[in-house]
Amino acid sequence: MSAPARGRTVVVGVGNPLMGDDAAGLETARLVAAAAPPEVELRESEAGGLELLDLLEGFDRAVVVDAMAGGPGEAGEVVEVELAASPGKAGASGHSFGLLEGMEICRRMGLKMPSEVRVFAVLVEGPFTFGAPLDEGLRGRLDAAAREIA
Amino acid sequence: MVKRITINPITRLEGHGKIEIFLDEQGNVKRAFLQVPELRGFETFCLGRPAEEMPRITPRICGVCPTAHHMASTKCLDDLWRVEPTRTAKLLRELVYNAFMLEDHYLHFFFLGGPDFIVGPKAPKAERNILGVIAKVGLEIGKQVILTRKRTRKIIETLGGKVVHPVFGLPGGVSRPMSEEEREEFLKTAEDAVEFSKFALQAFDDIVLKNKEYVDLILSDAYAHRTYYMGLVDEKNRPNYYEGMVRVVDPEGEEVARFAPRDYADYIAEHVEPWSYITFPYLKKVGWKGFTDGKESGVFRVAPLARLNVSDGMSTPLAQESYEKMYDVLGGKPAHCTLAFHWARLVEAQNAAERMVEILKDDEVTSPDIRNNPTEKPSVGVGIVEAPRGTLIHHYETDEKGILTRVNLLVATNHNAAPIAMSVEKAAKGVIKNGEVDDGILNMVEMAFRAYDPCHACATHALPGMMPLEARIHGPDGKLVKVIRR
Repeated sequence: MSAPARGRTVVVGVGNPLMGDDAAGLETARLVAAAAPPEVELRESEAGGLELLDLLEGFDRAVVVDAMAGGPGEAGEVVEVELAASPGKAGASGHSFGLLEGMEICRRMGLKMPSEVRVFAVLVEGPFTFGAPLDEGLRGRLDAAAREIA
Repeated sequence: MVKRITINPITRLEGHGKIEIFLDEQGNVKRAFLQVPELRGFETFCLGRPAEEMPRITPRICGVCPTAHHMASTKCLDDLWRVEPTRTAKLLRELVYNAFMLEDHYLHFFFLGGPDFIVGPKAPKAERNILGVIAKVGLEIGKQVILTRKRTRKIIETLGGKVVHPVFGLPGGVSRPMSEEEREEFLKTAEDAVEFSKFALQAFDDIVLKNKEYVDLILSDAYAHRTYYMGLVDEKNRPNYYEGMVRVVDPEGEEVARFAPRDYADYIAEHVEPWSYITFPYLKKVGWKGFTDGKESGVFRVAPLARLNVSDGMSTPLAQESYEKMYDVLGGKPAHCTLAFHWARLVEAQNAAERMVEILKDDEVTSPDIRNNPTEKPSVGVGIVEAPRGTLIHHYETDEKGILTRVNLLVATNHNAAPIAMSVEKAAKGVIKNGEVDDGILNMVEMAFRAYDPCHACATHALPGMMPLEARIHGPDGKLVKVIRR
């Protein structure tokens, strides 16, 4: 990742380290941050929703990396996710909180949200199973995945 | 070149809820239930690991209520090693726990449940969201919600090390003491939270209670179930989220059980249905009579309204006033109106704020005496806390080296699973007549389960982070006739 001209950049890895391939986003984000200029910060999130927004606050740019099962491609491939404008419908619990919707709420309340957010997903086979480690074959492909994101 | 894809919130790839609705010949609802994805295998994954890892592992079941799992697990370890935490350790744990309860309740009320009430259940879909809430209560209030939540989370983060997955509780104590400077800062946070709690209840009063249509909806039969209730209480039968005895009252409010955490299995059994991964706990002594309410049915409810229903009052003065007012409007205790769970949530948040002030004014809260070291050999332990969503039970068994041989977790949404199924069906029956089903019914049915603040699919999270929901309507022959998606 090239050094941003101005402002702060954060790389956020999202995933559960205890749930098999779900850790692919976390691992890839670490690799992306490690190869980035030192002023780029790494944050890790094992939660979604508002907790994810807490991690984005105050930054100018954000790169979010998560794992995705059932995506269009082979395990280890990276896709960039364009978040569709959310209909703004609140869900049933704290899980149910859209990223775009959340950022908009925070902005309206005067919190600084990144003006540029790019979301990447590392494709995984799944299903996410508690206790299984990250698939070794997949782990071997994460370096390449991180280079694509950078 | 990285491939680009677009995800619509309704087509998320993992984990979604389904409401199955079966109509009869006349087009009225014969049967309806909610199906949710459920992750399995967590308990098995824990076996063979040292029990002391559990307070760090179990919060990863869920990104929404990690503090609840951390605390139930920590208390389970106290019991496993038969070690009583020091008074200061208990105060600090209770402080963190009340801070968590407060921020979680406000999150649910304003962001998730609020749209139904503050904006209104029949408001246009595009306005029934948090932005609609802010438009109604004002931007300044929205900022206060965010700020209150942020400051209370700082308490959890400071003492717990990490806010999402704390490393705080140890068998017999906690990992760090609190400094005088921290106490002063947190006391200010807690005092401001008490002020905010008055505002939140006033807003509920102004917007909801002064609107007859809303009050009628809360009190309506479509959103009521006469069930048993369960919750942790202190020695005076007041709700305590961190510790106490488990009290159960019947639909008339009479106490039918009051037991110590370790005896839970004598009182609670689990029913299994072929269509759901979720088990349905019920009161063993009453028995499983199906998805039905009343005194003959062992179905019970947990979470905010249930906790207030099992209690004789609140432990703090402002919350006591709010409690009395609530039951005046609801027509006495126990109240069976599912939508009043939202109101009870605000009363509890006020109680949590006041309790935080009490704890932070206690001279011993900054004492360095934060741990009693365990000396006994472990065998069996049970820890129970009240998660925001209801009674949370952790039960571990180990060999004498503390290696786990059995793990049983009963989470709040388990307890409420049968009532949620009943509420969904009753709401569906109330709004679907003569085969007429439109998009609007989805919200009316959703409101029935949103009141419980269910935490389904613990540990699943996905982009973009919303639980898609679809209602599948089946004709009398069982064939799918319509699908409505959100």
